[in-house]
Amino acid sequence: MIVEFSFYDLLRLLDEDISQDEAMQMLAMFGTPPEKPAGDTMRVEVFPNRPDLLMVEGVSRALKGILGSERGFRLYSAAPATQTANIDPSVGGIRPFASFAIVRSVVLDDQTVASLMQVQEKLHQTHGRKRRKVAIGVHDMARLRFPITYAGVEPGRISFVPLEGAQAMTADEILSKNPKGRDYAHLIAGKPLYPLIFDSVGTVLSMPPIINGAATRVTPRTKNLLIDVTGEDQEAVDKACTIIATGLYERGAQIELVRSGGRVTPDLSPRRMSLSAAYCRKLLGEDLTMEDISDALLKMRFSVEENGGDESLDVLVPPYRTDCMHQMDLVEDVAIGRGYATFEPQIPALPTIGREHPTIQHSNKGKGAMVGLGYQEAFTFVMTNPAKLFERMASPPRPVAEVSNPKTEDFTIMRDLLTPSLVALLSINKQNSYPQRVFETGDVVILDDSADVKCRTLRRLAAVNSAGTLEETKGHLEYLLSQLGLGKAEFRPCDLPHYLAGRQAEIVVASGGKAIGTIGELHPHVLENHGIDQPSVAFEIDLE
Amino acid sequence: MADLHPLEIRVLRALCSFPGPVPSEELARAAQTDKVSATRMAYFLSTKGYAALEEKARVFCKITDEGREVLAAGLPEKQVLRALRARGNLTIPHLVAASDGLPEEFVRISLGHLKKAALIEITKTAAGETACSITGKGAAFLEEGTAEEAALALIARAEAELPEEAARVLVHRNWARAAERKEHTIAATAEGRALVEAGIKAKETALTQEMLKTGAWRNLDFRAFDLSAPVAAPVPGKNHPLHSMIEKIRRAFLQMGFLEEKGPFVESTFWCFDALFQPQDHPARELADTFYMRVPKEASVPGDLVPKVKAAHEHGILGSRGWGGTWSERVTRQLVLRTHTTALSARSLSKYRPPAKIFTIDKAFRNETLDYKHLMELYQVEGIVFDENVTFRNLLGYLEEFYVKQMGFKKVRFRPAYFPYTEMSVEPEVFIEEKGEWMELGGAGIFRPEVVLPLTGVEYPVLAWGLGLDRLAMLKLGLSDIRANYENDLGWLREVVLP
Repeated sequence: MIVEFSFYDLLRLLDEDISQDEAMQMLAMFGTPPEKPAGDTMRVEVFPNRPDLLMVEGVSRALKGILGSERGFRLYSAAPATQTANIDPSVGGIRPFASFAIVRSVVLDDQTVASLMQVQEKLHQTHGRKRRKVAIGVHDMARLRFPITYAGVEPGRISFVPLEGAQAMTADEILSKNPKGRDYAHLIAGKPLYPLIFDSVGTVLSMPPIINGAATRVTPRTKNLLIDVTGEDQEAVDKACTIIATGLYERGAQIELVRSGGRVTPDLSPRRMSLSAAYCRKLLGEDLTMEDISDALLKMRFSVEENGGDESLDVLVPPYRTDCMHQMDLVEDVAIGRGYATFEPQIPALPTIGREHPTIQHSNKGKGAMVGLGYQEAFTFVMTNPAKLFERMASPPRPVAEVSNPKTEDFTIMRDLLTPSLVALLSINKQNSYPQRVFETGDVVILDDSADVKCRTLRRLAAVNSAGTLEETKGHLEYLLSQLGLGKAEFRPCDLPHYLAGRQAEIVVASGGKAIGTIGELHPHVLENHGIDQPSVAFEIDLE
Repeated sequence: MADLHPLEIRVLRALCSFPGPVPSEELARAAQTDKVSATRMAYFLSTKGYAALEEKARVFCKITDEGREVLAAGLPEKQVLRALRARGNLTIPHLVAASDGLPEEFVRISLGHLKKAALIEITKTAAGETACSITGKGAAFLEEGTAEEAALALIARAEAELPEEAARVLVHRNWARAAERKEHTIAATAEGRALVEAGIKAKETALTQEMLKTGAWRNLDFRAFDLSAPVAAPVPGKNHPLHSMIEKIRRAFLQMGFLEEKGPFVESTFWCFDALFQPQDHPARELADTFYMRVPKEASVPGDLVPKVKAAHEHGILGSRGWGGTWSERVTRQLVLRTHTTALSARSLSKYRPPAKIFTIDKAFRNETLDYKHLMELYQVEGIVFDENVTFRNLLGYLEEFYVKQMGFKKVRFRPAYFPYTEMSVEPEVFIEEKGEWMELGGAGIFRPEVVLPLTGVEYPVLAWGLGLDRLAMLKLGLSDIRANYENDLGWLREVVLP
């Protein structure tokens, strides 16, 4: 996910004087690779494990640790809860979780507004799984009266002016007519009750996860904000609320807790995790002291409490971090805090025996034989389409593996033969000199119910000799078969539509056994379909 | 010593049969060859001093329409004379009237010429008018053919060379037009003639089986072959450049003791995502990125592993908290085109015991629209190292080995990244001097315990990487369009130097 911010704004938040190049280098080695900046505008990629970096305030908090101007976890001092947000049991079956925060004394300058809008949008997309898991609303405290209520309400009883709307609309009008309503209608449409947040005098703040009400919208004059987060996963909801509230705190705003459903939110307290120094050393392959480890963690904005001299550290994980599941995650932060560049690459002494895959070994033997015969190797795509695999080969369709969501009509199925790919490539090479002898050793996908994935990926070899004769090409095939250790083949007449009748055969290498492939002169229909005016011979064999 | 081609010898002999310079057509006829060959051989002979080439300009005359009229009606001066012979003494107005339509001006001019040549006499009549009469010489002149008439008759048949004076007069009188043409003539030089007189022994152009069989080669001289001369390009039997790249990398991993594996393109989401601890609502699983299968529809999944993977996802193992939520076995049976070869590494982990080093170089699939920088099928270099004591430094060691020692990049850096199944996730980047920027070419990391334990039963680190090959191949081959390696233009494939 790309996050955009002003370099000026970042410097203001950092309160440091660093060059843009230094910032770029630092961002890359922190794990938020930057794109080429466009003047003051910087764009960095934020990976999904760090939603706290989806706002520039979070980026600055992290970089302060790297720069050393602030270290460790900052204990947030929040004003005690005086206001209440009721969570009505009626949301239980529809969108059960919510978290609220009051943020006071926010200076809503252009950069802050842009960052606040961006973090909502990006959190919705990734962390919020397109608003299903988490949806966020921001409101002007001056325009609402506590206590507020989050409840499920019958759609017929809902009517309010949606954000950027001119007049009151019913819930179903919003879902069918408002652009945001249409985009997200699938998340609530058809439920008996719709989630709704309203205040003590009935003003609608929001119909999550669809749209906010116009009544409590934020303006440049807004001083104090109420943040609401609702969703299907308590932890995800809480994290989003904490990320935004603590992000604004980095700008000098104050957080006030809200009583809500028997809890107070946002969650500002760190979680305690234990990290074994021995585990850390072993995994990194570096003989780090306890100080080394602590120092790196402090740079990454964790706080550390040593456990009375033994080999384990108590690590305080900030509440905005969503990615620390296992102590291995802390080890990664130790590595980033020290800098990946400080780890000297080293190949382990680990004696194992190298061995080729037999199919690939076999296939390379085939390639050697074909190159020796003067054939040019081709690499073509496994994905194809029915026109190419069947129609242009004058063949009726066969059942093949097929994707359900192709982006284009060109690539919709998996090939079960290589020959059509080779014939197709000859059709774009007519300007080049003849004879054109091409081959490919490649994989095809054959449906097979006995396999766990109901099909098999099999290696085959196909060749086309364009402006060549059947007699000569049969000689090539026999040489190939002998080099593959398959001995002398029998040729059994067959009747495939892409070959000319009476000038084709199945290739049988074990007397009386199953055919391993076919050879034949390509049918003039096939040549015509590809605009090829040279008689051409093809063969294809299974290499498994 | 003369080293002449048999055809050069033939042409030189023919040339010596002429006493002087000959045009190339004539030479060709005498040498019994075509004009182009004769001219070429003459050129070669001249470079060796046996022949001299000359260029001569020749003037050819072509008759005009006016010339044809004159040829039919007779020269104008003869017409005047004929009139005088028929009518005797005539004054000029009478003469003009009798001269069969000749313009008066012309008649007057002719009279001047005729008088000068004493073909007529000019007298004054009693009335003081000028009168003309034919002389005896004039009468004789009428009976003779003139040089002009002969020249006109000659060029009336076909354009021809004329004596200089005749050409000048005919062109001046507008009865002919002249055109200059250059002609090459060839003459034998004294050296050439001496060579022929001394007798040239023809050298052989090629050693033949016959000569070897009979031993005749012992008495034969062989011509030198000019190896600096260009020859036709051959049509090679050749591997594709991607094969060369893949083989180079395969050999390196085999030499480092890696076992090669091969796995299916169509894969269950169990192996592609779930076994790799990718949450079931992870965005990478979305239709926009992953090809889902319509046919076949549903995989069978390993019953012994499913509960272990489920536990890792739902509530975590080994002190991990897991993703939470509910993990669905139905979802894990969905079939996709594997989005990464790491799916095969998950299979390998469930199959091999440590210590193990396993690799594959094979295709993965992304739901992309094919264009100059995106492929929907891409090659990955996939590897895992599974052992109790491997470390992050070891991971960087293998990556450095690959990019620096095998691929020859001077500057490599390892940037922190994120994958749900690795910690110390790394994106290796190489520095592209021409662009002055870092280019990301793959992903790597150490598999999380939530991946390793359910599949292997042990809590060992597993180093893993999936490195893109196609962009690397573009860099190595100097391509600007990622599709070029799959277009199979035979002109390019026949010429390209294999990496």
